[in-house]
Amino acid sequence: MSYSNDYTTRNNCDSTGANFTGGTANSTTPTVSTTEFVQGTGSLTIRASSSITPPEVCYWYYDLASGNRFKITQADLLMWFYYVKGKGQQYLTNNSNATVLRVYFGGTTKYADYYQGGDADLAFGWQVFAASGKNADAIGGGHNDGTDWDLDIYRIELRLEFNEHNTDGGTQDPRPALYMDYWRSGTKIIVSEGTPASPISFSALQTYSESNALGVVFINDVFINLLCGLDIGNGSDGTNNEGNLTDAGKFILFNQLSEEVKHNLVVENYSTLQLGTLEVGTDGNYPVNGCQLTLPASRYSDIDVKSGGSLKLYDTKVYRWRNIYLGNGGAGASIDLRIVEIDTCETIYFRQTNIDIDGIEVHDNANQVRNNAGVVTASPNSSKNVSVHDCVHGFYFEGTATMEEYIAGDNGTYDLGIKEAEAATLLNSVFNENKIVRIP
Amino acid sequence: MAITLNSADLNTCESTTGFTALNGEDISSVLRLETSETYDSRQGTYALEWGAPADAAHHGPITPTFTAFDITAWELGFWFLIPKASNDESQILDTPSDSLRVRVYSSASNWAEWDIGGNDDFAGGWNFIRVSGNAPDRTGGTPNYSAINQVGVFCRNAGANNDKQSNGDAYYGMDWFHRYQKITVTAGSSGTPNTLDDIMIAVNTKPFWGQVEKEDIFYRFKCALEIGDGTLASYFAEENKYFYFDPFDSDVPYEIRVKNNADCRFGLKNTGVDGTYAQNGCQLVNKISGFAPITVESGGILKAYAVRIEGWSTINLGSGGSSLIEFVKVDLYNNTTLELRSTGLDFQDVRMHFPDGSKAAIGTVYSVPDLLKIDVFQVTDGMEFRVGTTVEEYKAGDSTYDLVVLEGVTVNIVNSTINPTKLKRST
Repeated sequence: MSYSNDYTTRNNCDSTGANFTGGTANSTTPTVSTTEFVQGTGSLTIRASSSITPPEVCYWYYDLASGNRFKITQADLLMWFYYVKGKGQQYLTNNSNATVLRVYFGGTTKYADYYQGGDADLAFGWQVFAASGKNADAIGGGHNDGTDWDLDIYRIELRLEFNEHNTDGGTQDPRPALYMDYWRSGTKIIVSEGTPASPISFSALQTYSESNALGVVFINDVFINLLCGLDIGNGSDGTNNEGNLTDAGKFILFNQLSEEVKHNLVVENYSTLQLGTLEVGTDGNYPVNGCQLTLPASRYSDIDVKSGGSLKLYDTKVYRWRNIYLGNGGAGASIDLRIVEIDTCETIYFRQTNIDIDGIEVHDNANQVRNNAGVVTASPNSSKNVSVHDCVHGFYFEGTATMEEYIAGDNGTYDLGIKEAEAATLLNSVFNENKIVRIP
Repeated sequence: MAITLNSADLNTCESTTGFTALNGEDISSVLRLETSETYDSRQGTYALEWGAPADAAHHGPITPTFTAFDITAWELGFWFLIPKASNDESQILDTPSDSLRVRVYSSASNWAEWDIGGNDDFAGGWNFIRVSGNAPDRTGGTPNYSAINQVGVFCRNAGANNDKQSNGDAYYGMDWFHRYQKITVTAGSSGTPNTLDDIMIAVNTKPFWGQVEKEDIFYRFKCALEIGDGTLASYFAEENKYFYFDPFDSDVPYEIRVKNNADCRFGLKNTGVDGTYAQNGCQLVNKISGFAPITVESGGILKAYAVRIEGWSTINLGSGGSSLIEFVKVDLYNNTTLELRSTGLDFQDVRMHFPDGSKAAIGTVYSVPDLLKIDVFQVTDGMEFRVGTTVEEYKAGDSTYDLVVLEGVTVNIVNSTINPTKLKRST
């Protein structure tokens, strides 16, 4: 039973031996603070000297060793920044680029800037800054947008536009330092916790994130904000490596930072994710108290239930994901979908038979061009009320399969596609018979 | 488009005049008008800032008296700037959780006080603070909740921040004490209705209201929402949004009300080759279940397509008669009662249910609906019909009674699933 993650420390800010370099004469050399830090034993102070002419940019950089470099298109870069402002001074300007994470590609010339906001955007105290993928606000130094994004990051840099210096002028002029801590890069948390009888909830992920200063899981009441991908279980075996996570009545935002660095939701072998509740009554079973599982616009990560994984969605909405793999990699997965809305996603892959469906609605708006609904390669155990509307295509039966109560209409190219030499048996179904195609 | 907050100023913090302090402190030495950063005020031109000595007792300013109001009918809100300064600066103690208190007075010796939290409960910077109701954490004397005329803000401090010779880096800030109940949306058109974007523009334009927070498609409301003013033709529409109503206290409910001549739509209804279907819906969730209603007044229009409605008290659809209600694929979960009072009512693919073990009240049909297709389960009783009508695709289960019909009334049940032994006549 454990939690883990794939975040790699790039600079822990615990010692001057691995210190950042001030980029200008007014960028005072950082020193180690052992009183303010979020991780390890210290953080680095940031001060602009009293010689600045506001607004003036000061910056601090650190060159990664050859074995410590990474690609910004493959991992998010995160760091902690401590800001303080009072009614007397606003140390940084209110410009959107008053705080910038800059990364250099393959050397010290080509760079990309990721703006973190100005004074009014910043919280006091510790907060997470992040840079990811091609989602930069500016590029420079000859950076070629077509060829340079996948170069290794050579230098990481924090740039601040000061409105006031924060060099202490004496006891009658106590100006607090700003701080930085714990630069790291990664993509996800891996949860091998919980049992079927006693699953964990998302609040356990928050505890893990806080205790390790990851800064990637934030919960405010029913709102869950994940700045990371999530693997439930590590898939290696069923003894202390499985994950079991259950939650209900939550809005879960997988807050993916860039299109390139995916924040996938993976349910590994031996592991279970359940969202919503299936109440068992005398007269029937009732899916209730579901969740909404959402990505930001134009991000498109995947939900991937591996062979042997279990996904139970009750009274739940899945919004803006890319592919949803139900049983990826072979048989053995267990899927139970009851009252599920799949909106503005790309494709659902029904890849094995142990799937029970009682009410799913797949749809998209008319402008969405990526959703081709579903690809069916195996017959579900049971299916009722599968509704497909306003997608580019209806379901595509890639393998011989049977499905009940398939209702399709107002889709683009076809309501029903069947691969040549395969057969689709559709019982008690409704669709436009003029919109059936055979696909080579 | 018009978005308004029905607020009334209690003190705009444009002057230090009339402020006093807890425990007879010399407020003039620690309170001052902030004039150097006008953009940093939340309302008007200025904010106030103040400091407190370093000890564990509560300190803080008390406003001048203002026109008395009923805090069980109105919520009191204000902005409070909390510096989370470095170790050489002061800050509110993290523990105990009463490190920040708000006290309201009906007279000097009669007050009610709420614990708001400790340092870790707040974001650094401006926080919107609110109190309401008559269930405070403590009282002094016998407060008259219907006649509150002063408010004080008290902190336990980790260190002194009242040195006016310093740069005042860790001074607390405060601005715009006001009372409010609701945001009202008016005007617009059917082609260009008001949206949440319009509300957020109003919320984030000075004076900053603070009553709605947004994160992606999640919207946290700290007040009621009213569509229309009862006269002006008004339109509001949203798709794919999560509305979360987060009340401070059940005494001041955060309701949703659709007024006469107002048209409110959540989600989309499409009509395709195979009929009508709903999509791109919203969630309307109230944090404290069972005390805030959703009301559609006579002459109001409410369209809910692919919508989940959770945690409300009475869902009163068509109070007064001539409303237009259309629900397609709507999930009614853990609401107290459903009252169908409008004749212009279409229900298709509607589910009404409660959490297991909390089987609550029922739905009641007062007027003949145009269409009623509903699935009712896990309730005390199924729908009660107080008028004769025809019901199609009525399904009920796991209830004491699946269907209740008023004595003397005939209800035709078509293509439905109910237990014939679980029918009841009501009087």
